Amino acid sequence: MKHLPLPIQDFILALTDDMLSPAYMLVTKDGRLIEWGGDLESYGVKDLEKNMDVSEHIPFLVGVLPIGINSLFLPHVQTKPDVFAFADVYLFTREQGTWILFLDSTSETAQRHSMQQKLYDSKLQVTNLEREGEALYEANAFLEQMVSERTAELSQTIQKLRQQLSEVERVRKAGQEK
Amino acid sequence: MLGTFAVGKTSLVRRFVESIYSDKYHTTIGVKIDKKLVQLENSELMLILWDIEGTETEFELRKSYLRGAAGYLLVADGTRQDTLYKALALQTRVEEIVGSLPFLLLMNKADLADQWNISERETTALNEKGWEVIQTSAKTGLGVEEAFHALAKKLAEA
Repeated sequence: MKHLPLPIQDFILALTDDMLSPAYMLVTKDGRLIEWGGDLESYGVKDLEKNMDVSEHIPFLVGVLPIGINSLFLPHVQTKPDVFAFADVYLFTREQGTWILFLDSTSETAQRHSMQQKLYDSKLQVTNLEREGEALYEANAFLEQMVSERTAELSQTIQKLRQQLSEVERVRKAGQEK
Repeated sequence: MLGTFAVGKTSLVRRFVESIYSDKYHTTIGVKIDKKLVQLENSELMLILWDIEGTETEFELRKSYLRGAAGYLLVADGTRQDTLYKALALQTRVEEIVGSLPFLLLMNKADLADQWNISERETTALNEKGWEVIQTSAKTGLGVEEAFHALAKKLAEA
């Protein structure tokens, strides 16, 4: 932002602060807390003490520290159980240690949630309709088979009846001739 | 927890951690993290569960969510055959990213037996490959404790 005039830089910083509620922790490479700041409580992080192992305190950091690479981005982390509150979490290592930056992503997550819910609901509906279509097709094939078998049975019965009838007729005519 | 969308990953975690089940489908965005202490025969293990949003393809899986993973549960919906194929593709993708880790395959929604769409032949083929496959139902609780305990046991032995 160095190419921007100071008032614009200040405005962007104020905007970021207002919209993203930045909060941070600085930890040693193995996760011991050096310093922290911002409204970490809004991300469900509280009761911090210097030199504490943050991975024991913040479940999503278990196994993540040390990050081993220059930076790591964890988008849309639900920071409080059963509360619709999300943070984009950035971890990056500098000479002071590993910085863990929290930026509020709740409203972006809510927008994505709404769109994704509609999309996946529709896909599930299509799957259900396809399944019902297949069931109907199978039921229809079964009925056609039944009709065809029954038709064959009826044809045979009619044939037999016709034979019996002509036999009766033949016997009757033979009787008349006598 | 890995698997495509609407296979029941979140419901399985809720059933395991809170003994709760809801029929309503809520898609997951990003990742939800839970934990539960599991008692093993001679020890206990704290499971930190990352319920990762389901993607349509394995390539949409965000690598950073796998950082530090010790093992995983692959989840498929037994009433949707394509979810099994997506779970298989995800497993290959995960191995490419983090290497070989302990895992199990959960065939979820076992309560919907009349709509089951995955043949025994397919699961037998996976068993023959050395995969542990467990039928689960987040709705009834069938196989849920067993699945998480089986993973915890594999992690403790790894």
